[in-house]
Amino acid sequence: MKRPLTYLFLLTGLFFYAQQNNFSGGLYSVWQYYVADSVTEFAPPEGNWRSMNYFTLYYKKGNWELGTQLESYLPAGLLGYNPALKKYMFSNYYARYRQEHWDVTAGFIFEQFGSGLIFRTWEDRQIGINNGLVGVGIHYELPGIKLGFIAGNPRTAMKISDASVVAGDVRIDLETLIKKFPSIQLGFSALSKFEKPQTETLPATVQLFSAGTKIFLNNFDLVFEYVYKTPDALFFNGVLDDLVLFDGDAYLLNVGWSTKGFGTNISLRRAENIQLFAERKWSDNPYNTGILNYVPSLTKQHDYLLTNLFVYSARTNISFADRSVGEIGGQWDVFYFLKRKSLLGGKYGTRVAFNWSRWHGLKSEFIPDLHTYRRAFLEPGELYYQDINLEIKRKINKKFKTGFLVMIQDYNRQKIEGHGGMLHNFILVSDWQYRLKKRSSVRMEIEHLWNRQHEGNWLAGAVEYNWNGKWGVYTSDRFNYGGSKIHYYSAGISYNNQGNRLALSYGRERGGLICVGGVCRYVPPHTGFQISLSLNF
Amino acid sequence: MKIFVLSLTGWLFFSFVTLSPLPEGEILDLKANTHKFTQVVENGDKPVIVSFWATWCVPCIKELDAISEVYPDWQEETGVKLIAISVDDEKTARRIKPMVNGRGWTDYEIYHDYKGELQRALHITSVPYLIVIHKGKIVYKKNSYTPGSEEKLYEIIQNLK
Repeated sequence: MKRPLTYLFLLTGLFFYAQQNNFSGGLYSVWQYYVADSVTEFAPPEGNWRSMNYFTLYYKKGNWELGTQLESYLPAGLLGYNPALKKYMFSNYYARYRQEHWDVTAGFIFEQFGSGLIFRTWEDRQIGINNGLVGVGIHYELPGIKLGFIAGNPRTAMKISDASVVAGDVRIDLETLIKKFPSIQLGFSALSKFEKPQTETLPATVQLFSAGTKIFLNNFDLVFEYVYKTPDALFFNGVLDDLVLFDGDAYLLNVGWSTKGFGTNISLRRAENIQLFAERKWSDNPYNTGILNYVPSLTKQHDYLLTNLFVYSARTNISFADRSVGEIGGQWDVFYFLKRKSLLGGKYGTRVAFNWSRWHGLKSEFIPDLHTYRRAFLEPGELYYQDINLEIKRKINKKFKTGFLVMIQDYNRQKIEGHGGMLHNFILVSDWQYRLKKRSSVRMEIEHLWNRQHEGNWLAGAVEYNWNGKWGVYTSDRFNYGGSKIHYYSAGISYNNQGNRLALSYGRERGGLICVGGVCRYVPPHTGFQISLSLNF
Repeated sequence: MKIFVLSLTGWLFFSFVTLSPLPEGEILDLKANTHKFTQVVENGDKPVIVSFWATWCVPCIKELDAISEVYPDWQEETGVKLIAISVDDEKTARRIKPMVNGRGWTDYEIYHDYKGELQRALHITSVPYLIVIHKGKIVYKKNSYTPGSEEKLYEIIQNLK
């Protein structure tokens, strides 16, 4: 216990020195104090406290960079994070050298090839992801050609895995290489993961290959990527299933067109058994520990209280228990600016955003005797999720702004949460913002959700008051009046200054999926206080 | 004890106004060409506002909307330029371009921190996050947007010598 505190003190001392130059870094801390709640029957964990703390330090001089991070989970990670997150760890340590053509890193490597479908390592503290690769990363760049290479061992929770990963990437920019050629880029990547096989039938290595292109012509753009994964065993609920090995693949197509005042975009994806984990035992774990590639749910990331009750997370695996395989679907976005001083636009103009996403499993037939399945290539099977929404934002006058959202949602609880049926939700949101005087404002939102299948209707509201550009207080409530009659309330205060933030809140969390960037973490219901502190220098 | 350490560090931070060095990072423009951050923020002895935002972040969008109404005046009076760097990842990255056009932010320079290099280097834990760079140094940082805070930002820019 004493040693890490000493470290913290030493690092604190460095803050002074850091003001000089070349150093930068920060501290991010979240503390939760849980209290028993008889309404939700929540019982706090032993000791009531949980906290997660990250202290980061970077040094930069000339072409050199050095960095490290001290993480601590006291006495363990917050509820809903991987229980393996405990005690202390030095992470994200690296040394990096960059010049015009070369970029070489040794230590923790955070990298993404293409859209990340083949390989992505990143840190996201909100969802407890840090799958950084400990090894080397090399980039070499010539006009029109970029080469990337990485090799190392991925981090899994508090450990550096014994499994190893080697990957390479080539990006070719034809516009630079060939005179008068349109803006077309090509990309190719390959990855190999080695894990000591647990049984004789298992392959020691699993490979991923990808090819893709990006095309930009005036207002039009197109992105396409294909990824193939070599056969590997399935792993369900802690049980290895090596009777038959299955390969996987993914197709991603994106087409966009935009001009001043208007933009639209369509994303389509078909994915089947494409997720890769550092070690087989981590397959489909709910904490995203050890994931090596990025398969986000391509749906709109909502920001209101009731639009985030039921969130979709991508489901691309093969499940013999569920008799489901893969995922196919897409998303369509339209952004439109109704001109100022027009009939519909009003004095200041009106902004309209439309989004429609729809995701299905692949139409499939399971053959238990042969322990295999047949699936259609493009034919959709069971519906997993649908979201059709329209958002309108309008400035009424210099002080007053409003927003309005209507949303229709179909949510397959059985497939997404593992139990329950299909939910059909209809949601209305109204959002008001009023500027009181210089740098003070009030914001209010009222929301309603209609549902007949699950917990019935919900009513929600939030009020927020900000003053002085630094302080903010809010209170919100989500009331499930059609079902459990439980209020999920929250209230808090925050202070912001010079990029630093301190926030304190108290509330009752309903629990559910918390998603950041389409990767989700399940949070159990809980009640209590939270303090978060974010400092940087 | 732990709380003491935290509050001490907190006090230290809050009581200092820092001049931090510029981080390095590779970012993409809307045509997926790569750029170096330190080159993008080059603006002679004039200031540069770098706004980190995301397509899913409502206050970010409000802030960029609010500044876009007064941006031509700011540019004329101070020579400032605004660089909006999206922190979207591949889930939402395809929405950056249509949203920028659909909201009429065509005066801003738009980039994409697609590997999160700058977010890590600047220790950004949430967006909106805004920095002002002047003569190669970070002279101001701000995280969060409340209506009217753009006026304070403009005061700071006007006072840069």
